[in-house]
Amino acid sequence: MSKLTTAAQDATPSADPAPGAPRPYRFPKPVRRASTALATVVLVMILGWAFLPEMFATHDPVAGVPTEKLQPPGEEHWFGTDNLGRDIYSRVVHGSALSLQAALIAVLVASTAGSLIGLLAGYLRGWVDDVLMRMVDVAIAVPGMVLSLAIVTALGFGTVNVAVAVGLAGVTTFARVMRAEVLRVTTAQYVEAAVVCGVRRWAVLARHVLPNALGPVVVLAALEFGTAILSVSALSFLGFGAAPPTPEWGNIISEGRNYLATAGWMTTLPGAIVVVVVLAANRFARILERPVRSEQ
Amino acid sequence: MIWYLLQRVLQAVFVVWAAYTLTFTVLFMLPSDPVAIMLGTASGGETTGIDPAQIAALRAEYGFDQPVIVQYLTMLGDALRGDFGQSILTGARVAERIATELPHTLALGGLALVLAVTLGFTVGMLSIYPRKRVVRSALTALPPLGIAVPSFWLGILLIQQVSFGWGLLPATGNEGFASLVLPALTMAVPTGAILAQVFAASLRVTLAEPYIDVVRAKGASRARIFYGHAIRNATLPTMTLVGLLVGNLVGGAAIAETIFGRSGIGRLTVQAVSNQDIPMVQGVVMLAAVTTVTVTLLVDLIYPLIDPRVRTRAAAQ
Repeated sequence: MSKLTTAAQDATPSADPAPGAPRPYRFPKPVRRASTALATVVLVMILGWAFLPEMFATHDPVAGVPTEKLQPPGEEHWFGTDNLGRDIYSRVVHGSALSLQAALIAVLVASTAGSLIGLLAGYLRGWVDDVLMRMVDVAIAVPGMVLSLAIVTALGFGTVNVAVAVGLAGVTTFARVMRAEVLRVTTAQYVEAAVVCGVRRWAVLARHVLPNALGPVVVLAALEFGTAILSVSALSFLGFGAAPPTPEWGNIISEGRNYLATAGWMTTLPGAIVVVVVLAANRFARILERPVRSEQ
Repeated sequence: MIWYLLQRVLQAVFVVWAAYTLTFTVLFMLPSDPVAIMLGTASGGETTGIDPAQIAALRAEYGFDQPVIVQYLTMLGDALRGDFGQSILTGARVAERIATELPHTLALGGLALVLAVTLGFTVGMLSIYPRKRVVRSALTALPPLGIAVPSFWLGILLIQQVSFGWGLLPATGNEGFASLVLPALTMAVPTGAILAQVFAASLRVTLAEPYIDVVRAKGASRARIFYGHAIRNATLPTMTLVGLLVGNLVGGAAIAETIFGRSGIGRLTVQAVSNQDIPMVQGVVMLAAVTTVTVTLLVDLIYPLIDPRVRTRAAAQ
């Protein structure tokens, strides 16, 4: 079975090809630099939207002008207007705060709980490891989206509940990665040296194991951020997020569903923003990944 | 071998039981009160001013007045006999509702799986095989895009373009094969993108193996190296993904069926969650868990048959 898992790990995109392999095609440096710059611009802009929506929005996100309803994108309304005459661009700008917050909460919940489980399991080993990892196996048996839906049923609807549900569904991934890292680090000579020198058990964990095991977990958190944006907006799209007049990326797109044939911009443009943001977030995760990968 | 088999089956049974307990804890321990929800819908949203005797009667009828452990054991016993209780919204038997909706979702999920595997392997292969860099780099860029696209948005774009724009395939409905294509494609893209990435990475690793050098030294053509030697070995690691992929499809069905107005398990789940219909949600979660566990078990059992190295090592242990 161990061979099985290593084979699966080798196959993940982060695996380095062995020396002499046909090199995977890398985009030439200028292209990579340009895409990094573009990702930075996108993320800075979205953070601006989230923190200072009034500065970037051109109209009121909630109050519409009925006479200007269903206008296609143009100079006055960059993304057009919806069926209530609200400016869609302004709604997307105002929705970014909630959507990003939700994704952030989800990643924090998943990474904190998951890392703690992985840390305890990998460091204490023995029955603690067995019990915790069996529980992780069980949680993995329920697909993430279904688990999130069940948790939302129990917690009730709303942005924060959706965020927590998505976060809890992501705990298992962090637990596994953290455990693997702790197992790897605890065999290192400097950890052995610290133990031999008589450093107390928990001090070894805090001072030597945790800082050295954290790298891949941080990369995973960055990768999970993009995934969390998608999951949170999917649940919001299904109607389990913020209640209607409040804009969120998911429910903005959902509101356009009845106007697909006549007002396609109501769904197309907000969705394109989500794609661009997730691409930029994933691009950043890849940049974070590089030093971690070369270290191993 | 028989011991290995028995052990794996027991493990699977344990996971399903634990998943049941987990969902019971999540759904029945958390703050929502099923009886209040039931009365809320029965009297049109008014939960105040209802006869306490009526509430007590309902509690007794559904067994919610029992201690938690008794409730749990009763429900577990029923679940073992395939009875997941009744919907607190409509009163329909959960197991029967799921059985009626399942065929729709099976057809959809089946086609989605076929599309995902086809897409994944084709794109993964074509991001390595062609000699032209432009082709390779274009295809390498596709999976990250597929992963970043929200599937609900993709479904909407497909409706806009293919159904309304070109008038090719129906946008909604349950009838016939044509109505399956767009929702299946919506579900297949994110899954196929993951598969493509894993397969491409696995192909790269395989091509670096010494045995490929031997084959090349013997004068095999590029096509022969790929089709005759590399692909089969590179496919193996993707097998471990199958459980994950099937699980993704269950979640994807919730979105695809909602957008395309189809009936099925996904739609049933979304309705149940919207109405906080706890027994129905639990039934669906268990269906998803049993499916994933079964698929994972099957993969684990088939793996040694495909890869003799696993078999010999298991025997050596």
